[in-house]
Amino acid sequence: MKVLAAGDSFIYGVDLADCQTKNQHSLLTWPALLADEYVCIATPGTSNDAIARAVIDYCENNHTDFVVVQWTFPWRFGMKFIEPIGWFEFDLNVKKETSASHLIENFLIEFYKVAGTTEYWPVYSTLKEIVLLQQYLKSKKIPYLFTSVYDIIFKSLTAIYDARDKHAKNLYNLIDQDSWYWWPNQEGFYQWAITNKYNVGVTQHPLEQAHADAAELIRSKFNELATQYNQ
Amino acid sequence: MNWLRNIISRIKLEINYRKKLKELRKRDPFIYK
Repeated sequence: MKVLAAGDSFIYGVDLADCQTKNQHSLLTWPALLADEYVCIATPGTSNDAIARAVIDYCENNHTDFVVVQWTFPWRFGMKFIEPIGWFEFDLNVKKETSASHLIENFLIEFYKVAGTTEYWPVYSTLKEIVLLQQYLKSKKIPYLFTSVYDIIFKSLTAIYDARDKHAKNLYNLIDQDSWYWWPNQEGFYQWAITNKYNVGVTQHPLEQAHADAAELIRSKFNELATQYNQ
Repeated sequence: MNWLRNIISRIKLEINYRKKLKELRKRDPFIYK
């Protein structure tokens, strides 16, 4: 069974022994340990909308039997600009990433002030990407497993629910919980590894033991969902 | 007095933004570029 894995540096395997950050993803990450045949399209530092785009692009052009996505921090964003033209990925470190254009830099600084670092917009945007990709995979009948690096997406929903925001609530209710995996105590992968005091590497990513134990934790859910492929 | 209100709300926005940025950078220290 060919497994496609998407996500950020945690799925790419930054800090793991066999990973060369710019050239070669790791085969020691938890999805790699679960797969017979493994394809990794994760990118360190990526955003949730870039993850959704990458999976759709891959599936439109290649065959895959099963998709694993570990969603990243919601305050990373991707946007396509016209000058300079192209997709830009940006995060909290706005200035370093936008040296190509002062216009974009100024826009991003204002964007982060009024929307990008608020409780609402990052979560709402991430929910859109999750629902988009879920519906795409369902339409293509490709079984999948979603999880997350950090639980902020769903913790923030409490505040959004309190504010009686129907738009985020509508999206949240569309998420198929049967294909979602939470790490113990409803945490994201990174939080779970830190809570359980796994060793981390130079850039703070959990190391091999965390991935090996994570693979065992998630194995039964992975197998349960993967059987949909065999049926 | 509108100009004063604008300045005050701009300062408030700036303070909140910096506070939030500091908090989020602790949660997501993974900067690559």
